[in-house]
Amino acid sequence: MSGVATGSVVQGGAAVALALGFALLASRRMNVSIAICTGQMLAALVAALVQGDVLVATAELVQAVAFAWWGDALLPGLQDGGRRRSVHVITANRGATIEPPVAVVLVAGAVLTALALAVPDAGIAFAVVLLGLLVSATERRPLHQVLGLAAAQSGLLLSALSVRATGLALGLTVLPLLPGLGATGLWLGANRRRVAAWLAPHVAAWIDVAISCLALLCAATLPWHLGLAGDGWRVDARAAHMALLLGALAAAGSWRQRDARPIWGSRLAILAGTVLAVVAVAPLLAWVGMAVATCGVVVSTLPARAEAWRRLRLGSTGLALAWFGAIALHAAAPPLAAMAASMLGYGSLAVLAPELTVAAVAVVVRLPAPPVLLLATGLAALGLGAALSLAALSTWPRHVPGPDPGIARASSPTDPTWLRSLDPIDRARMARSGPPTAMAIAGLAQAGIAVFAFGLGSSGGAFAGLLQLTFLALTQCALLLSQPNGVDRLAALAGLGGVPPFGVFASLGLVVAATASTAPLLLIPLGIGLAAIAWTMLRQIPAERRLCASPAWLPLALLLLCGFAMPASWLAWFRLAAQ
Amino acid sequence: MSAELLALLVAAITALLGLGTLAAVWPRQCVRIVWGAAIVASFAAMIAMLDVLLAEPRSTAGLPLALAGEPLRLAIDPLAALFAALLFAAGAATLAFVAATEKAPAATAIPVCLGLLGIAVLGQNGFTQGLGLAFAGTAIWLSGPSDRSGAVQLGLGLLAAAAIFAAPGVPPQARIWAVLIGPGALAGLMPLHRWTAPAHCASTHAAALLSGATVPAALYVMLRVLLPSHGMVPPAWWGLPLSLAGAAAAVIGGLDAVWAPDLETALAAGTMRQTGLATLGIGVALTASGEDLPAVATMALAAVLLLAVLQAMGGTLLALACGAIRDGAGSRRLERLGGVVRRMPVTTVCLLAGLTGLATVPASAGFAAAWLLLHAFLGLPHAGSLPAQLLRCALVAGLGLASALGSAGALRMVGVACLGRPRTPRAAVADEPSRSGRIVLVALAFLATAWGVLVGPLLMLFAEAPMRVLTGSGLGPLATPLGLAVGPESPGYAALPIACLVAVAGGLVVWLRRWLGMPGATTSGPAWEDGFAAPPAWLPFGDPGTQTAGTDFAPSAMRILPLPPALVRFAAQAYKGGEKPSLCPRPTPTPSGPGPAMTRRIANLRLPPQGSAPAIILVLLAGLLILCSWAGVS
Amino acid sequence: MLLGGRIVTDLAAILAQIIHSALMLAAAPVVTALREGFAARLAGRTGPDLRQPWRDLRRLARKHPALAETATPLSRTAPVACFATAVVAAALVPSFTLGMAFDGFSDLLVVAGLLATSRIVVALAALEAGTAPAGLAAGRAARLACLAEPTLYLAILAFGALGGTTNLASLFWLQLQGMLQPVAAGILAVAALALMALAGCAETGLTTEVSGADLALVQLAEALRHLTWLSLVAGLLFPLGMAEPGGGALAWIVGLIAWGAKVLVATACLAALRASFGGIRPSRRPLALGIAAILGVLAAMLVLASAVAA
Repeated sequence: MSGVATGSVVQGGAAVALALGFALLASRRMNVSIAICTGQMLAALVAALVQGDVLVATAELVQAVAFAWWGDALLPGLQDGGRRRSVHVITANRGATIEPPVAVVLVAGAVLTALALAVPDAGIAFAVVLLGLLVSATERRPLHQVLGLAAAQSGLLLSALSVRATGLALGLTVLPLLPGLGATGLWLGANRRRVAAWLAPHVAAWIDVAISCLALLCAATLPWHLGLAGDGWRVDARAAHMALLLGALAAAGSWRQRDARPIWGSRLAILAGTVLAVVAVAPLLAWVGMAVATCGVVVSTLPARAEAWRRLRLGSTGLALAWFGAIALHAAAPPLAAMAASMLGYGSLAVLAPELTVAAVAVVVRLPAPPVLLLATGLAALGLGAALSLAALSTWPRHVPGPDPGIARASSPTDPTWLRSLDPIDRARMARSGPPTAMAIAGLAQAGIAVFAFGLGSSGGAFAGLLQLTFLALTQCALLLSQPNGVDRLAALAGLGGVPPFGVFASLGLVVAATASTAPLLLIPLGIGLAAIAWTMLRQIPAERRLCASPAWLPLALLLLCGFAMPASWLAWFRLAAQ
Repeated sequence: MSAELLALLVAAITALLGLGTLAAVWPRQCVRIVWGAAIVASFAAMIAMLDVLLAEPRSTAGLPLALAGEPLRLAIDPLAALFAALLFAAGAATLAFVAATEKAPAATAIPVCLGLLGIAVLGQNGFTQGLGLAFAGTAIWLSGPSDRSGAVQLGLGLLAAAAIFAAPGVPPQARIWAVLIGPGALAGLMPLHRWTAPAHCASTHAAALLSGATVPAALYVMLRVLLPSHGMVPPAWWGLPLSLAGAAAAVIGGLDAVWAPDLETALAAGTMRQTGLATLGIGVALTASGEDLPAVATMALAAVLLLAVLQAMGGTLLALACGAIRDGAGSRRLERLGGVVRRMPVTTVCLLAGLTGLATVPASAGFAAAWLLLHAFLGLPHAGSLPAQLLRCALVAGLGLASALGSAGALRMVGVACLGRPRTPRAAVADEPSRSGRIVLVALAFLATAWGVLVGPLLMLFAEAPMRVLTGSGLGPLATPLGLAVGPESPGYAALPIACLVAVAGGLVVWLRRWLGMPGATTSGPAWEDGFAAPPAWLPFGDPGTQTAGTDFAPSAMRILPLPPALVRFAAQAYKGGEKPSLCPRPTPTPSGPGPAMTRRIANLRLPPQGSAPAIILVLLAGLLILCSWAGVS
Repeated sequence: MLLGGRIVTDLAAILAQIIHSALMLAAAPVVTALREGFAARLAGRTGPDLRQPWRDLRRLARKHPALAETATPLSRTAPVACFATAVVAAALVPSFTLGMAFDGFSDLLVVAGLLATSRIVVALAALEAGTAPAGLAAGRAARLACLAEPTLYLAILAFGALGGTTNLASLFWLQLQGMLQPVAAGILAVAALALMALAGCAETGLTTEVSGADLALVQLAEALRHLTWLSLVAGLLFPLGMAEPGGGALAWIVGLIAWGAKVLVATACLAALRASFGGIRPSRRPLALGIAAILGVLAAMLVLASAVAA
C-alpha cells in the first residue's frame, strides 16, 4: 500500500482509539472498560498490520486476546479472596482523592485532546496517551487505573507507528511494560503472604551497602577514564561527576536502611538504571535507564504498599510522557512538544527518590532543548515545589520527631501497625509522613533551580547549575545519614532550604549572581520561590538539638569545603564537568 | 600601616568567632569568655578608629576562602573602618552589659555574629559582604528562640545577601531596587517590626545587636553599593525612590513607635525611623551629585554618617536600657510599668540621654542630622517642574513629622515607663542592673550626648576621611569647632555654644535661687489632681487606671486634613489610630454685662461650627493661587 | 552681609546682647498683662495693672513648692530647664537691634527647637506627677507638637529659599533691605508660623502639679515664649525701625520704640482676634495646624515658583 494510504489508515486507527478513549473516560463499569481497551488494542493492531510490521502486529494480537481473557477470567482473582467488593488491598486512593463527575472528566479530556492535536503527525496518538493518563489519574479504583495505563500504552504504540518508528523503538513500545507493572503490583497486593516470603533477610541490606560502596569507589576512578564510549553512551566529565553523586547517594541510602529488609536487587536496579541514564547519549537508552531505576524505586518501597502504589502511578505517568518525548525525538518530530513531554515526564520522576532527581536533571539537561524551555522548566519545578510545600505546611506539625527521612518505611508484614499504615484516612500517618515528603519536594525545587541555572546559557550558569546539583545531592546524603533530633539533621534540613553554612547556600549565591548578569528580571520569581522553600524548611526544623557523631558530618564537611574553600584542582574538575 | 591594621582586625574577628564557638561548647565558663570577647571587640573598635584617624589609603587582603570559586577579599579604607568601629563598639558594649548582668549563657552567638558582621563590613566584593550578612542572620536565628521572628531575621539576612550577590550583575536601573529590597529591608526600611519584635523581646542582647550593629552594617552596604568610589557616577534618578522610601519609612516608623504598646516594638519602630532618615539622606545626596552640587551631597552624607553613629550608640543604649527595665520591672508593656525612676535612677537617666540624642532637641546629634538634612534640601536647585517642587515640600514635611514623632516617642517612653506612679506592684520593686552594667549604660549615654554637643569637632575628627572616600573631597567648611556651618563664613548651627548657654542659664537660675534664699521644696503630699480623692487601701500606688497609658501621644490618622468625617473614620480604623475622645470643650465666654456695641457685634461673629467647608475653600484658593503663580511666572 | 559664626567680640555687641536679654526678661510678664488688659477692655472690663504679673511672680517665688509624693529630683530640675531654654531662645531672637553678640547662633530651627524643648520638659514634669489630667495634657502637647513640626520645617524651607540662609539676624537684615522677594511668600510663611504658634499654645493642664517658686519659673518661661514668638513674627514681617549693626545709641532708642510699638500692636491684634473668634477650640487645633501647614506649602511653592522665572 502506498505511503499516504498507510498514513491515513494509521491516522484512522488513531482516531478510532481516540473515540474509544472518550468512551473509556465516561464508562464506569469494569466490563465495558475492558472491552474498550481491547478495542483500542485492536485498532493499534490494524495500524501495525497496515504498516507491514507483522511481528508487532502478532505481538499486539496476542496481547489483545490475553487482555480480553484476563479481564473476564483473572479479574476476580485479583481481588481479595475473590469477593467482589471495593478493593482493600491497594487503598492508595480511597478517601484521598475525590472522583470528579463524568462531565468534568470529559471536558478535561476534550481540552487535552485539543492541546495534543497541535502536535503534527503524532497528535491524535498523543491525545490517546493523554486520555489514558487522565483515566489513570481520575479513577478511584486501582483496576481502572491499570486500564488507563493500558490505554496509554496503546496510544504509545500508535504514536510510534505514526512517526514511523522502527526496530528497537517499535519493539519496546509494543511490550506492555506499564500496565504489566500495574497488574503485577495489584497481584502482589492480593497475595500478601507470597510477598512476605520474598522479603529478604538482613543480609541483603548489608550486601546492598557493600555494592553501593563498591560502586562509589568505581565511580571515584571514573575521572581517570574519561572518553569511554559506546553505542549510545559516553563517559565524559559531567557523566563521571553525576555517577560519583549517584554512588554517594546509593551508599548513603543503603547505609540508612541497613537494619531494614530490602527487596533483593532493588538498590542495584536503581544504581544501574541511573548510571545508565547519565552516561547515555541516545534518548532511548536514557529512558531505559530511568525506567529500570523507577522499577527499582517502586520495588524497594514495596513493603509499604500505599507508598509503592503511589510511586508506581507517578512513575508510570512520568515514564509514559518521557517515552513519548523520546519517540518523538527519535523520529525528528517538532522539538518543542517532544521536549516539553520529556521534561514533564522526567520531572515527575524526580520526586520519587534522590537518585532519580540527579539522574532526571542530568537527562533533562542533556536534551537538545532551547534554553528558554530549560528556564521555564526550572522555574516551573521551583514554583511547584514551593506551592506544594506551602500547601502541605498546614498538615505538617512542627517539631515532630518524625520518621527518618528516607525512601521506605520497611516494616514487618506481621506488624499490626502496618495494617493501620495502609489506611489513608489515618491523618496521623499522613502527618507523620511530612518530613520525607518535605525532602522530596524541596529536592524537586532545588533541582528545578539547577535546571534553571543550566538554562541560563552562560558558562557561569552551567557551573552554578552543576554546583547546585552537587550540593543538593550531598545535602540529601547528609539528611539520609543523619541522626534524628541531632544537630546534623538540623544543619541538613536548613541547608536544603538554603540556609548557610551547610547546604546549597553557596551554589544558590552563584546562581543568583549568574541570573543577575544574564536575565535580571528572572530574579523575582527565583527569589519568591527560594523564600517559600526556605520558609517551609525552617518550619520543619526539630526543636531538640543534640551534638552527636554520625556519618552525616562527612558530607556536611564536604559541603563546607566545596562551598567555601574549594581546592583549585576540584575547581578545575567542576569547570570541566560543566561544559 | 593600614595593611597591619587590617591584619589586626582580621585577627580580632577570628578571635571573636573562636570565642563564640568556645562559649557555645563550654557553658560553664561562659561569663569569662564573654568578658574576653568584650575586650577583644573593644580592641577591634579602637584599631578601626585608629585607621579612621590616620586616614590611611585603602589596602586589601585575601581570605583563604572562596565562595564556590569566587575568592573572598577584605579591604579597609576610612569609610569601612568607621563603620567597623561603630559595629565593634556597639558589640563591645552589648557583650560587657550581658556579661555584667549574668545573662552570658544565652549570649553565645553575639561574638560570632559580631565577627561575621565585621567580615561583611570589611568585605571588598559583593560575595564577601553578602556572605557575612547571611551568616550573621543564621547566627541570630540559631541563638534566638525557634519561632517566627528568628526565621524572619534569617530571611532578611538571606534576602540582603541575595541582593548583594545580584547587585554587581544587574543593570544600573535595577540596582537601586536590589538595594532597597535587600540591605534596606535588613536595616529596617520595611514595616516588619511587628514580626521581628519578638526577636527583640526574647533577649536584651539580640535587640541590642539588631539595632546597634546590624543596622549600621546594612547602611554601610547600601552606601557602598550605591556610591561606588571608583569613578562611576550614579544616575541622578536614583535619589527619588530612595528619598520616597526613606521618608515613608521614617514617618511610619515614628508613628508606630508612638503607638506601640510595649518597649521592644517601640524600639524596633524607632530603628525603622532612623533608617528612614538615613535613607532619605542618601537619596538627597544622590540627587545632589546628579545635579553636580558636591557641597549639598557632602551635607546629606554627613547627616547619614551622623545618623549611623547615633544608631550604633543610641540604639544599643536604648536596647540595653529597655532590656534592663524589662528585666527589673518584669514586664515590657508600657501599661504595666511606671515609676521605675525611683529604684532605677541611673537607667532612667541613661534612657533619657539616649532618647534625647535621637529626638530633635537642640544640642543633640539627632537635631544636628535634621539640621543638615534640611539645609541639604535647601541647597537643592530651586528650578524644576511643579511636581518635583511639590515632592520636595512633601519630603521636607515628612522630615519634620519624623523629627516631631521622635520627640513624642521619647517623651512617651520616658514619661510612661519611667516616671509617674508604678502601675503594678512588680514595677515598684524594679532593680537596677549591676554596677558594671550601669557603667556601660553611662558610658554609652555619655558618648551619645558628646556626639550631640561636640558634633563639630567630632565630625572633623572622624568623618573627614570617610567623606573623602565617599565624595572625593572632604567635609570642607561643614564642620567647625563650634558646630556646623554651611559655608566658610556663614553662620550655622553652633551646638557647643547653645549647650553652654543653656547650661549657664540653668546654673545662673539655680545660683540665683540659692542666693536669693528662695525656699526649697519642703512639702510633699498626694498629687492634687484638681481635687482627686486619695486612693483606696487596696491600691497602695493609686489606681493605675488614672494614669495615662501612653496611647494618645501621636495624632490619629488624618485629623488635620479637611476631609469628610467618614473618610477620616475609615482611615483611622484602617491604620488603627482610632478616634480619640476629646475632652468637653470649655464654653467660650460670652460678654456679659454692658459693653461697647461694636465689640458685641464683633463678638457675635463666629466661624461655622461644623464641617470643613472653610478649610476646603481655603485649600481650593490655595490651589488656585499656586496655579496662577506658576502660570504667571513661567 | 552675613555675620560669621563666631562670637562678635565687639563691646557694643555684648552690651546690646545684655540689654536685649534684660529687656525680654523684664517685658515678658508685662506683655502678658497687656494681653489680658486688651482682652478685658474688649470685653468691657478693666484689665490688670501692668506690674501685676511681676507682683504675682514675686509672691510665688516666696512660696515653698509642694511636690507630689511620687516626685523625684526631676520635678525640681524641669522648671529650671524649661526656663533656661526659653531664656536662651529669647536671647537669640533680635528685638531692637541687629549685630548682637550671639547673632551667629540664632538659627531659626534652633530657636524653634529650644521653644519646643521648653514645652516638652514641662510635659515630662507633668507626666512625673502621675495624675490623669496631666498625662492627658502631656499627650495633647505631644500630638500638637507632631502636627506643628512639619509647618515649621516648611516655613524654614520658604525662608531659607527666600534669603539663602536660616540665620535669624541675616533674615531680619535682608527683610529690612527688602531683599526677600517675593513679598507674598514671606507674608504667607510668617502667617503659617504665627498660626502654628497660636494653635500650639501650651496646655493649661501641664502645670497643675507645679507650685511655688517652680511655678514662677514656668510662668515666666511661658511669657518669654510668647514674647519670643511675637518678636520673631514682627521681625520677619516688619523689621522697620530695627537698628543696624554698628548703629549708635540713637538707633537703639529708635529700635526700642519701634519694637515696643510692634509688640503693642501685635498684642492688640491678637486680643481682637481672640475676642472676635473666641480662640481656637482644642478640638479644632489639629485643623488649624493643618491650615498652617497648607499656608507653609503655599509659601514654599511661591518662592520656588519665582525662582523658576529668576
